[in-house]
Amino acid sequence: MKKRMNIITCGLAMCLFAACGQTQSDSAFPVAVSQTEEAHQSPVQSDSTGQKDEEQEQEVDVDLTKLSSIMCYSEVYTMVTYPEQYWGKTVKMTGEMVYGMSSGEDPKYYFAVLIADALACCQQGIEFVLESGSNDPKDYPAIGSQVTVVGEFTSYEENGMTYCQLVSAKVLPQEDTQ
Amino acid sequence: MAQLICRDLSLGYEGKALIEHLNFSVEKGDYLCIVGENGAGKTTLLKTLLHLHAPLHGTIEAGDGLRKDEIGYLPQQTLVQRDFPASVWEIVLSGCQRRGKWHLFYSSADKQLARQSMEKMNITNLSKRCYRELSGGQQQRVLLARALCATQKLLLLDEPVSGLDPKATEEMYALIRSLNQEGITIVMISHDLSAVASDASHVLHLGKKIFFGTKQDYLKSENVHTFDRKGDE
Amino acid sequence: MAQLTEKIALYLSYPFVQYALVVGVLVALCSSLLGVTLVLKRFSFIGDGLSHTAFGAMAIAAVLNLTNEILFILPATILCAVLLLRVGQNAKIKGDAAVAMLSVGSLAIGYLLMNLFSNSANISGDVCSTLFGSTSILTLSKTEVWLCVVLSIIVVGVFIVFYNKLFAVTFDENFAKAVGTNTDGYNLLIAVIIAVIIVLAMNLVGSLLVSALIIFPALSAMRIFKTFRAVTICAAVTSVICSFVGMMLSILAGTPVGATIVAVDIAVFALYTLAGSLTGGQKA
Repeated sequence: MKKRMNIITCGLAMCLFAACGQTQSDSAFPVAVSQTEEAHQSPVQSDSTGQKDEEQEQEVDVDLTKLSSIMCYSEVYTMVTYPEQYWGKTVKMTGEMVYGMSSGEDPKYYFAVLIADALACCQQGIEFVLESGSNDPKDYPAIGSQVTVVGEFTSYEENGMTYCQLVSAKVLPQEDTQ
Repeated sequence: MAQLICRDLSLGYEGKALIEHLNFSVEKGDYLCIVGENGAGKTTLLKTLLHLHAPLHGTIEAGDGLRKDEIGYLPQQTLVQRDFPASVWEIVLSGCQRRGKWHLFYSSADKQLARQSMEKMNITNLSKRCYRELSGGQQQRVLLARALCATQKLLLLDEPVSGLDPKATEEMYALIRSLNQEGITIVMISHDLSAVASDASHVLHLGKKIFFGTKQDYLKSENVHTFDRKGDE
Repeated sequence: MAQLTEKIALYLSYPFVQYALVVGVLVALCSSLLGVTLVLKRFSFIGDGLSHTAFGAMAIAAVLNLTNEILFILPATILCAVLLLRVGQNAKIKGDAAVAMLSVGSLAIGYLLMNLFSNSANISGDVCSTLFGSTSILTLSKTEVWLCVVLSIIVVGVFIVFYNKLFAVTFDENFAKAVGTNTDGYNLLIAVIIAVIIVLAMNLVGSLLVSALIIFPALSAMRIFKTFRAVTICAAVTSVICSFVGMMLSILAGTPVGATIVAVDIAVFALYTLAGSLTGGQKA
């Protein structure tokens, strides 16, 4: 049960309401921020060409889109449970786009891809930050849409909990097979 | 000294006595029939003799070289057994379980004993057959062979012919008779007075008035008449 | 076809899939061995009752926030198994009613406890994955895998060593007792092993489906085979194959593991029943 609670807290809470009490701070996203210095263009949607797509697929270390739903869920579970084994790996995943928002004066958004298990009773989300480091919902796909995201896996600690996220992420156009 | 001696035995469940002040003994080579109405405590007595139940009062002693667990038992068929997937061989061999806690596997002597018992019961040819597919008479002979593996001294039979057709009944009685003639003590529960009349040496009649004695005395006693009447009803 | 084998090869390269297959096969083996005894002793309901009890124990472990929940669940389930068997033997108390009471009771209390005290964000998810297994078999830690391997070896070992005694006690308990076999001891042994198996199997199929894993292979084997030994061996082989196939299907198709395994078990049962009636293996 402990284990399962980890899934939930690391997964759901992370993307949906981990933001509680979180103040907007660069230190929470050290990697994300440093990476965004150079690239300021929005990588979203149309400007990722087919070629670029292929390039990225070659780089992908963990391709969750190739796994069946149950495998995908289990792999994400493993990633969330042992994040250190996945640090620095490029992860590609497909799922439902969800937003989370921290409460407080300066609300901060969290963007995540939600992955459900085969029974659809357990869900895990992996948070991601675009290459631009944007925290503006306008730069992200609409809530509830199916998205495929590629990014570098990392994890960070916040209030004693470990959260996982993909940094310098790109949103890929939906493939027909999905 | 007798093989089984019951002294001032009281039997029953949860303090309620079915039978009280029962005294009887079984000598080596006896053929004792236990008769009585339904609910008179025949099966309870049998289970007590087998140490499956503790008596409420009194003692059961074993003697004449008989250990208290050296009793072969032919139970009435249970629901579980009726569709149990087991071969005749597996069942007969299971009669060779011994007291010794670590007697976990059957030795070749055990297997030899099982083969002999099956020969005696004329079921060697059924060895590989499935128990649940046998006729009632065959099933009883399998269980009797198993009981013979457990002991060569004393057999307790719980209504061995119930549910059998007349021919199978006759065969069963003949088998029991021949075992008795070999020197095996028989204690049998029976509804069937004709068997009592032909084979038994002693009779224990359970009921309001307990009778224990030889068959000759029993047939002269008044118990036999009450038993007869009950049988007719 | 080539694509499929490629996919299988890819999946098999994941450590958690390897763990799942090892644990799944072992659990299937253990549960089917004891399943034969359980079905024949008319104890099938005890497996069902115990799985619910294990759910209750799991809820308590979760509420107490124990780090190693299995250390609590296992003894608690064993205790209930012993109690249930004791009750089952006592003719005065209705055994089936007691089992129903205990199992439904622990189900309700377990769910209630989780709702009231669990600090988890997704209670229905927790409950659902505990009841139906969900993906827990694919998310085992190395420690859990080793624990399962060790317990499985013990269960199989005990079964082989006590095979003859278990047969005797299963076929005719009164006779076994009369010739001096310690039947109470063996019943206790059976209860303890069943509890261990149920706790192990909960990871695989979830607590609602555990008893399917125990009874289906035994029932299937009984359709075709007529001796205890053959039924036992057939049940073990059938169960292992069904679990393996079920797990492969489920990870390939993305269906829930436990439900898929049980579905395969049901299909095999139907197949065996048909085969049995064709060869006249089963008397009507």
